[in-house]
Amino acid sequence: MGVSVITVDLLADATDEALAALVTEDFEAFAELYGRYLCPVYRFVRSQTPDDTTAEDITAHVFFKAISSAGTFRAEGSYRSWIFRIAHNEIYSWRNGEARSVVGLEELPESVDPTPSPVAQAITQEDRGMVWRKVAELPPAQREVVALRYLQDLDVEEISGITGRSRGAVRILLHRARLKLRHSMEGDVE
Amino acid sequence: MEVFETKVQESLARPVPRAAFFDELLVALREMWEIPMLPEAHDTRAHNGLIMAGSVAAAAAGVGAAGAWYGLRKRHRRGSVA
Repeated sequence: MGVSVITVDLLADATDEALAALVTEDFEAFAELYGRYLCPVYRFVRSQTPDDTTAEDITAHVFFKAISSAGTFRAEGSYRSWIFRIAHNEIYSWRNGEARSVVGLEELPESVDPTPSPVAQAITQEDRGMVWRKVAELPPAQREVVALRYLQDLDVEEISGITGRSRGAVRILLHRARLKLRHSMEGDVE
Repeated sequence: MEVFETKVQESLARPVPRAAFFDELLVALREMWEIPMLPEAHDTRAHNGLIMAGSVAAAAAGVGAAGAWYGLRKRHRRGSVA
């Protein structure tokens, strides 16, 4: 019980979808997926919530759901879309329960990447706080598509599948969000 | 990508999950997963060729695992483990 049926090296090389097909038989396959998706899912959830604690709670629920409903994953879709759809649903449920739509100013994340990229290093802490607040001020639907687009580099079709919105609606949300962000950020510079 | 988009991307990518909390979560998830691996669940799975038994057991186990997880949550809130 609990012994991986395939080696760790093979797990590391396997596609997300191949791992997902093994989850009900091999916990190590799930652990590999957890390692791949913890950061992306947490960052996405954190961008939609007011504080680290709420983001941790929701992220934990996402992975509980991912493991308890692993048998429902169908390989014709991508695992990434599947787990982000779970995250979308969990955030939606939380938002309905809390009736929160705007992230407060106290929400700047406590834990930050200790090894930022050169571009990230060039952005000052003050700048970063300003950008975070601008994104937080977007309406929830716009904030969500912005996070999926810029954090995960997802295309319109995949965002559409995750959020359940039409491709046209996603394009409009992205367009409006980009306009707002560009205006507000360039306005702050001037 | 425009400059403001790069800033948005970098800002959103800054938060990192707290290792202590999410390491313990993985332990709770493993406990949750192991329940459907009990012998009768194995037998049912083997006989029926279905993973349904595992899924049902996992859902049932979720109650206990969720309880354990809320305990973990409380410990982290009390101790503010970073």
